[in-house]
Amino acid sequence: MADPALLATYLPVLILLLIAGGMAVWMIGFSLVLAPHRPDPAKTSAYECGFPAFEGTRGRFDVRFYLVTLLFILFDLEIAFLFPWAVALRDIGAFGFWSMAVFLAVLTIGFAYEWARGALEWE
Amino acid sequence: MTPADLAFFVLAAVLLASALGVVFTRNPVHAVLLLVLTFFNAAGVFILLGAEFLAMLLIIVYVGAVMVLFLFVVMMLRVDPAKMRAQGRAALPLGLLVAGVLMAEMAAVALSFAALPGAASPAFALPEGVTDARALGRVLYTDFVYPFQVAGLILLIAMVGAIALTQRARPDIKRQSVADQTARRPGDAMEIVKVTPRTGA
Amino acid sequence: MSTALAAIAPELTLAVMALVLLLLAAVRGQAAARPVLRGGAVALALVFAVLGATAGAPAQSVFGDMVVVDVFATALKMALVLALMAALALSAAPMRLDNIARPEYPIVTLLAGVGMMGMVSAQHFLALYVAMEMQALALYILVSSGASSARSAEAGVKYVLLGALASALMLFGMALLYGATGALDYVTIRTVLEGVDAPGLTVGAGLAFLLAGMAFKISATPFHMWTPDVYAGAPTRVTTLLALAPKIAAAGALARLLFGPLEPLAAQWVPILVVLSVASMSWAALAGVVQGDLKRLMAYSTIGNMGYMLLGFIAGGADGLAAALFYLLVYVLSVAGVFAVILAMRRDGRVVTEIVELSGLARSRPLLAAGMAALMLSLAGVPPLAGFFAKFVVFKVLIDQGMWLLAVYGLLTTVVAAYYYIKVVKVLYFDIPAEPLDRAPARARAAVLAVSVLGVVALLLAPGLGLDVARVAVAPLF
Repeated sequence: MADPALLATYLPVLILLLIAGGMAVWMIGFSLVLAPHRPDPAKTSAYECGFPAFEGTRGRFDVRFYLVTLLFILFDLEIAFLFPWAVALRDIGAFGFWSMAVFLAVLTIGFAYEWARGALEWE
Repeated sequence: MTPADLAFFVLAAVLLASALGVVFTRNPVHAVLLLVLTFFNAAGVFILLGAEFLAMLLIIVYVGAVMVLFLFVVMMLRVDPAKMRAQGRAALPLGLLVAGVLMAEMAAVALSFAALPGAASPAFALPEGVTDARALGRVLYTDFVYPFQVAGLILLIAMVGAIALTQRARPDIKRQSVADQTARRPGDAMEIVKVTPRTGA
Repeated sequence: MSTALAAIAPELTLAVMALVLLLLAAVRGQAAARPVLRGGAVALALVFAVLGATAGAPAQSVFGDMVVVDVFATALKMALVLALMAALALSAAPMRLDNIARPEYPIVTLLAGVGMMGMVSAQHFLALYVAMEMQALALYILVSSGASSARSAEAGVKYVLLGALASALMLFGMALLYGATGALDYVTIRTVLEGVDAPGLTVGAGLAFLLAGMAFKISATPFHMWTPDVYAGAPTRVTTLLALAPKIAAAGALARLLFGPLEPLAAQWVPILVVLSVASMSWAALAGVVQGDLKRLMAYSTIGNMGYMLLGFIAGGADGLAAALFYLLVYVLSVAGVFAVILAMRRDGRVVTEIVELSGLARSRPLLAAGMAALMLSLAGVPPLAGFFAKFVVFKVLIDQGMWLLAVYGLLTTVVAAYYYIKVVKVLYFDIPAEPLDRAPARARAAVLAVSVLGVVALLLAPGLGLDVARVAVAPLF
């Protein structure tokens, strides 16, 4: 276990999580217990402009959504690498600075490629 | 039992329960959401171990980005749960055997674990009064510059690969070209014709 | 720092060239496909020149002992560059004919090459792991790159899932070894392991997990399941790459592990390798017999050949490893030619891969058929071709070590496996001719086939030469 002083700083986070969880349980739980439930087929069926649903809700997503998220993850990871670098920049000197510069340059080339190839456009 | 111990047991219990839920739930979207819960609890355990940065990374990268990707993938694939279940059942005996062997091995290692005499342990100790992000930063970009740069290239490959595999050339689609639009002058598209009365155009 | 950069100059050159080509692809788009392919070949030639220039330099460890550059690394990197060149050259014609030329694929191939070169130089678990992931990720992309083909996508998914499992097992093994020894670099691990008599369960389990991951990479039974499906499902130009380069990289990394930090554990890993090797030889010989598809057949051929290569590792010592390396290089040389022939198999513009499609090829394309027949006979181990010498050398080191039983068993499986190689020769020469194959001019393909066949035949003139080179290459490890 880590230093208790460190853990104590997370007490507000814990309290926040407890409140958030409590609210969720409160809202869903009480509506389950108190609200009247008298389902019938007309009420529970999916509503689509008065017609029976044409297709399931599992429609296929366009693959471009996936491309956008994947590119997002990559830049998210890049940021994850930037955090410790920013914190420790004073300790690692010029070498550490240029090390990150090279890393960013590689990904910037990737970004230029991505832009030029039209991966950021939706058409 | 200290409050930290109590927190550990709560986090670990929810972690295990939600991880089991990921495996056994019928609805793939629920599985992804349960995985988010699993990651949150794992982040809590990391914090209890003093690994704050890893905990935040787990939330930023996994919960914030990877899980969104998983949701899209689950929605992109048209999965038929019933069919998948039937296939899964056929592979169950072998799967259980492999999982059992792995479990037994891990349990045996966990019970008998001991560092060897002469082991350089622990190789990377956290210096006193330094946050783990800073300790990581001190070595990651200097001592570990080689794997760090390779990691950059791995990200690049992922980027190129994702684009190469999903971008199909689609000549049938008209693209908007802002430069062409702003460079357009009236003369490009209009012709002004002087029409004398009563002769027609 | 400058010495470190100079030491990894080959990797650096290749990576920088890949980035330059990527920028070219960004600017010129689809039209850059051919220039990028040519640029890739130039980059590899350049790297080969750099490797040649630094071949004589003394061994050195850089980046805090993470990366080692010695004769072993340089020799394997040269072999890797040649294999990548062959794969790149062979990919030109199919990309043009199938109208799927994209600049990304050569670039990803080059980046895979950077990862593979990193693998053979790695002297640290972290360096090994990132290099391995780099080449694996690039290969996953290439395997899935078939033009809107469901089979290619299926192969890609299988490869990704099983590859990720193998990576996870390996990482777990590395973690256990790190836990027990407190070190990630090979030198310290070896020192710690040498100091103990009974390494205990943690080290044993770590070793087992690590070897399971490596066995997946070289596709040794029982971790071979992905091989036939991925070989058959991937576009043939990618299967060519898969059969050549990653095997060199994985064998190099395995040799560095087994004869480096894990050397003190030889008593534990030799039995594991014996199981892997025997299983691979047996399963490949039996399952190969029923294959009708040439690419699947080559998958089983790979599995079997990796089994024979492992025999050299089992024999151990500089002689054993030299035999294994020699075997590997002969395998790569022969297989490059076989894939040149498979890539020539098109009828009416469609790719065909069944063995029966080769029926009577000797009538319509005598040269192609003769080349294929020579390569098949070499793979079967028929004297006096290179494949025979390779097998002979491996069996000989086993017998020198007194491992008679294993050598005899290997010989038996060779005889069984010879059946399917010789069956291909029979189809080529004695079956009723099928429709002739398309004639598409492809100088690169002809060149690869010629080099491969000439190499396999010409080894007869100097059978000892290849082995001598292998001996020099493995010397730094002992």
